[in-house]
Amino acid sequence: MPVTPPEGKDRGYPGRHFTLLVSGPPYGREAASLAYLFAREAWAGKCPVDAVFFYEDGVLNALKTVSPASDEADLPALWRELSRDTGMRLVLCSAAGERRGAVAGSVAPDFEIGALSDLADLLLTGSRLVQFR
Amino acid sequence: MIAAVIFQSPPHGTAGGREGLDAALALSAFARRVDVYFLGDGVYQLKGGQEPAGILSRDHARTFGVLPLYDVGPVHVLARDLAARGLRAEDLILPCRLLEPEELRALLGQAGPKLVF
Repeated sequence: MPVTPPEGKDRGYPGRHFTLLVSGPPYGREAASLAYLFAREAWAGKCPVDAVFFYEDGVLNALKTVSPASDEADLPALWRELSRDTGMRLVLCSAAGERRGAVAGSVAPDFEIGALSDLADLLLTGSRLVQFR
Repeated sequence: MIAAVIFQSPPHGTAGGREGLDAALALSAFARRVDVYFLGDGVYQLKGGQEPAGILSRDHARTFGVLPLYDVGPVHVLARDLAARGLRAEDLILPCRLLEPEELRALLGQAGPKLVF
């Protein structure tokens, strides 16, 4: 049976905070697109997404050199815009980034170059993890 | 917090084994417990006697040997996943708990964050 969320500021899951784990690249697979849509709708439904953590091929979402064709979604740009609008943190794993060339010079300034310990910190706050891979 | 790290991919062809191992070790420094599961083709991660240098891949089985040193575990596999692949517990490089599907369901139900590789 579908559940109707209560109206008002606690609409959705009251007090529920999310952390997203993105394991897929910005182009070629669907994982990162679905994560972006989830994040956008969660914010619209008053469920804050504390941070999006990029791991494995997900770190490629942080590259400022990604330039898809003009009629395709530019996921790295969409992440940056959503982060600026909401204050949501964008964190990538430095070790995964280094293996893939997503390093200080190639990563957009909206992304924090962090470590897996940042993901652990987020989970310890009670933030609910949703992984997209 | 009990975290679960689940390996479903085989050791070669994707880097999930390597990067999942890093995640399990990192979480172990923060979580009360990190349970590890090797499911489906993921059980091949633990098979001994691999020689993947010829395909430019790492010998993951050897790397997973550090899990007990970091107090990560217990390590679980589904008994039927081993049987379906002609493997026995003695073929694996780590002592593992053999689970039935209903035990797996109960354990994952108790776990907090779950990371899949």
